[in-house]
Amino acid sequence: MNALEVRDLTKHYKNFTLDRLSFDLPMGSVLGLIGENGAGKSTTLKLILEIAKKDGGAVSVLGSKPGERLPKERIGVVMDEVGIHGCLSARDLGRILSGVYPNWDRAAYDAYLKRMDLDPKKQFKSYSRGMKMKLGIAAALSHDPRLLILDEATSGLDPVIRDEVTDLFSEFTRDENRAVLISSHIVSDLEKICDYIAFLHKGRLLLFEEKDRLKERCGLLQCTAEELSNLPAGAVLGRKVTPYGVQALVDRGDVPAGLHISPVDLEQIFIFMVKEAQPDAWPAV
Amino acid sequence: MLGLLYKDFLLLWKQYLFFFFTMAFAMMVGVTATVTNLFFVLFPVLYAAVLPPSLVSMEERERWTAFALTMPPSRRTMVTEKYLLGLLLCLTMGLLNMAFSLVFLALGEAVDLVARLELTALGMAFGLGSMAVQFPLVYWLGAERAVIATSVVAGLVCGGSAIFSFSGALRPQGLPVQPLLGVFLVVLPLLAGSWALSQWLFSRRSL
Repeated sequence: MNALEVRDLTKHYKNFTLDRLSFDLPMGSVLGLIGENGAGKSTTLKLILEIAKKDGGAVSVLGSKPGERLPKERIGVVMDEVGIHGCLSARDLGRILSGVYPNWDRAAYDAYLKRMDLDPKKQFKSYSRGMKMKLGIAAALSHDPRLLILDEATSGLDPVIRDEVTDLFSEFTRDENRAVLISSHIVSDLEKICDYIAFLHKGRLLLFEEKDRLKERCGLLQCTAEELSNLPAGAVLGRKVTPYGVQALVDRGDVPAGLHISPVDLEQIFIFMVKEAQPDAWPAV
Repeated sequence: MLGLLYKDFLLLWKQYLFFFFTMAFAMMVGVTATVTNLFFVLFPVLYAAVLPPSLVSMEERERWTAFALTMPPSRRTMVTEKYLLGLLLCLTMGLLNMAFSLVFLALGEAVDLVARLELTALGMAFGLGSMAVQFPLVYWLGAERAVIATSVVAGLVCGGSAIFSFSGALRPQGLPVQPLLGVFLVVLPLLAGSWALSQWLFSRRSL
């Protein structure tokens, strides 16, 4: 079963269009939505959650049919800015959410606050950004969600807190009946925890693939311009001219044996895709 | 719904503590009102009606609205909760107004209870009318763009009532009952229409 199914999701703004996005998120997995600022990541999540109104397409969450009410009691959400009033404390928030979520687990919430070292009596406005984000995550996890949707939840956090937070997400998906959709422009965080990767660029989905498969398929080739020109068409996915020659992102399967291809990380693939990609190398999904 | 109502009362208590002191002061002044300061009888109820639309604006500015939209209550429930909050606040202020009057009557002050009741009812009618106009504006235009429009409405209602009261046009005795019922007959359908309109406007909004 898929936790999330998105088909032809479309939204038009004055200067931006989210163009017929389609992807699935299988249960028990983590999908990372990667894109530069303004690529449409937040818009996608807002459309899925019906915070913004879509102009076209269909979304199914945890088996809901298009047009049906979303099972929001089974969805945990952390937005890039946690929208909690500054004068409220973590304890206040717990009391409020216990009246909102029928499946609110007070003991779990208290345990998360303790684990994250959050003072329940302190006002939200006096929290640091990291603490605010941790409180948002504690609230999102305390009603036993099946799907966790996180929008830039690790941005602006120091490395130690980011590590703690990504561990929490990994822990969450140990249960095969849960899934996570996480958007970020910090690719290294996503590389650690994601099973699937979706690259979004200027409102278009450039790529949707299993992370491991993508990393197996792609590699970095350091060569001369002449060597590059001898490669078969389709092998080169992106190129960059450096003072030492040419650096190319290649599809390993299409490159003749004998050439040394180095492993590539997601961040490099992402940069090649956005800045250096061949015009036809990455047709939109 | 209960969680959202609890949140709003908590927020009013923490954020608008000044409001409660102002109300108490106004009620105490209002209960001993003469012809020239009847405004203080109307003021608590009018002010109570202005608060919920301000709360909607504040929620949007502080991104609570987007956060709330990730929770189980529907947009329809979110709008209904705000109207219910407005009605509860108006009713509470009206009841407190009358309770203060009874206390002062028991203390031997010359308080015309019927006249107070009529004035309180008039204040509630104007307050609910103001709410009926402000809510759709906030749900339609959003917090930023609605601020001028809602301030104008609140200013007109409160300022108009002040002028009306201090001019002596409003007298504590002999307030005709039939026009008062007429006002409610206009205001209550207006509020119901406003509720339906706000739901429709909010259901179409993208945040």
